[in-house]
Amino acid sequence: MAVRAQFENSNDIGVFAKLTNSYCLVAIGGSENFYSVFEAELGDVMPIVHCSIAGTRIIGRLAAGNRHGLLLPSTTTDQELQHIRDSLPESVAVQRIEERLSALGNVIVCNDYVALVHPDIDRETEEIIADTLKVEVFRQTIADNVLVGSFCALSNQGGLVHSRTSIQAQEELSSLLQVPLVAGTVNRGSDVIGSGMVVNDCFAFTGMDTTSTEISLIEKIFKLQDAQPTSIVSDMRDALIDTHS
Amino acid sequence: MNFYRQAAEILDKLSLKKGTVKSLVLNPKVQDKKRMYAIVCETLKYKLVLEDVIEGVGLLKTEKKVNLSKSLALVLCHDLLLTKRGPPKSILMAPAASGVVKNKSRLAAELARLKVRRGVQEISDLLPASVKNAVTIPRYVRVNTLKTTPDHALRHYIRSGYRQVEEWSKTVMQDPHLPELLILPSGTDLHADALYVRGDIIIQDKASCFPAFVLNPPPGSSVVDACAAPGNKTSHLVARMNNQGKVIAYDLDARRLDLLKRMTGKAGCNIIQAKHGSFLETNPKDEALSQVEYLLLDPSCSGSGIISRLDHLADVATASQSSSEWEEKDRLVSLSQFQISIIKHAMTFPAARKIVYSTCSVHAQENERVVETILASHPHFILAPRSQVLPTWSTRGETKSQGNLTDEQLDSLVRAYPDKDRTNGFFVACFIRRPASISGYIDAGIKETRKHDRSESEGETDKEEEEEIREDAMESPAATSTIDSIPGHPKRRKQTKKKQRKRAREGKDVEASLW
Repeated sequence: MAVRAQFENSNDIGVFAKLTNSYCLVAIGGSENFYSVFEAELGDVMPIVHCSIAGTRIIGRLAAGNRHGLLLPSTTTDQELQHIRDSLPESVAVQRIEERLSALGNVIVCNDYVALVHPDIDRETEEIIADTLKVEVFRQTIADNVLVGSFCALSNQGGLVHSRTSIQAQEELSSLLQVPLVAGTVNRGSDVIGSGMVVNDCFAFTGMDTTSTEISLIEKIFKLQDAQPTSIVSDMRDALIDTHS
Repeated sequence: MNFYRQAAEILDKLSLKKGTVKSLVLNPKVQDKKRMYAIVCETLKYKLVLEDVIEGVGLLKTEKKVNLSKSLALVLCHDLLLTKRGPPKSILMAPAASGVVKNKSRLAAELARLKVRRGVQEISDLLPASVKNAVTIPRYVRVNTLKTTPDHALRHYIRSGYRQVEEWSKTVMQDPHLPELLILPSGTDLHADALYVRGDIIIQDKASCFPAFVLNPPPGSSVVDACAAPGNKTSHLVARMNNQGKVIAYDLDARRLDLLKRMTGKAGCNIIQAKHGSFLETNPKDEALSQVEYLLLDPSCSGSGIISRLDHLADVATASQSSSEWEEKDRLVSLSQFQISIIKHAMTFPAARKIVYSTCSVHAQENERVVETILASHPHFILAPRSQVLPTWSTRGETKSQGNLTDEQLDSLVRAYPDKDRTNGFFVACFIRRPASISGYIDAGIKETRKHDRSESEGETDKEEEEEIREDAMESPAATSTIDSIPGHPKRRKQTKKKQRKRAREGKDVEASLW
């Protein structure tokens, strides 16, 4: 299910939220409107944590994480770290790392199995990413852009990449990640996909400007349309025929 | 950490051709031989893949500080990336491994990228086809019929959990061609097996059981085994003769002759006269030798058919560096000359009725070509017809190589190929005297052969066989404790080596090129 949302008149909701399969981080805003969109969808599924990182609201660009863990930049204060640790399930490892490229959300994009990272990231950081998030780490660029976290959105089902990514690069990435990929946009033509949306295996949230064409592409590539009648026809037909034949 | 350093050292030596995989791993300094053997073999197997990975990461450039040699990096990367159960704990602790371990995720990523680039799913798919499809041959054991019967041995294995089948698979099976041969799964570890310890069975490849089987001397006859050590074929001969008659075994190397005495003694052979010296220097007119009707010739050969030597691994790994094609050619020429002189000498034995010539080579030059030369110069000998030479065996003389042999003649030669027959590569030819010329024949060839190639010893094949024995008892990465109980342990090998070097220096070496 893909839902549109806006953070204080900004469509770049990926900047102000971080969504994984086991938790969701949301920035502390002036109003609760943004938070309640998430609350409505995820409230009974996973913890939704109000937080700030290094005193800022751009938590989606500073933090990177998946079901297994959460990585925070060294600028995170002890208080913030403690708050996040307290709010997340114990199975999630929270780790603060020393890395020159401190906007971890911009330089790391991951699902529960694979992570793509900025080519210049530290070797130690790379090892920590592999250990904390329990992923295979690949140094990579997307459409010749080093900020892989900004130009890609990834779940265990699929991925959406910068619209200028060549077919060949998409194929290579796709076999590296072992998920289908598609090149596209969000927020009415924005290439900055990581900032424009957040996604996990069941839900996607996109900026308010996102067109219905973009939404339908997102629902398709991230396989979010389970409840729709078309999927019943296609997915269940075999089973029905099998039962009644 | 010593373990990895040692493994790296072995790899270095291998690439310099300072020994074979087995001889290096069986060095007494190596503690965990089983593990060492495994890691060396696997690293060699994956060498090209690992090299690509290390290159891709630029490991040797980034980790200059920690004194990381290429071989060490290879070994460490192998354990880090390619082990089934994940990297062993010891590698994570080892100080010298730190340079590699801290790059673990990059190495893993590079390996994954390599898979993507080549479009494969499994790591094993990255291997070159020649390595991936390398043949494994089953474990053949010959039942020593002097001590026990095939039925009895078969029952022993069935009792200890093997299942007898008609088709070969993870079980024990009686060989369809040779009744005294049992086939066990490849890599079966027999070093502590009761039958093996008692000498009731002898580990011997199927192909090398052929010569004695083809010669098939009746009990009571007198036989010469020209290049006898380490004595597997000799004891097979004695078993076929039921310990009646006489077998004279020659070998040039006194030490290896001792080995032969020990091996055949263990097998319960009483009729062997082991003689130290070259077969070429014997006088066929001697009283003892003039009676000899059957001769078994298994002279030095290139050993190109032997597959359990793992040399294909080292060869793949160093293929790019070797430019020794010419050397190889020279070696084959001198080997085949030596082989021809041995057969010619055997044919001067006045009573010689049947001569079996065998090699463990797949080169036609040492096999069909030698037979061709002999037949051309010795018209009073012909090839025994197929009906007398393993008639049911389907792989016969090689037709591809152009030559003067007729189809019928080729049909009476026996060949074995690793990929097709699941044995070592092998060749057997059986000469018999042309019926009319049995009595009163004087051969002009005597003079010409007598002084040939005296110094070229029979050592080479035998050496290989010795190795074979050792390998067989030891098998793959198994059986650490065998090393003491099996013949020819590393110390002694060294001495042989020295001897050979000496010989090589004297300028008459055929065999030194092997090392």
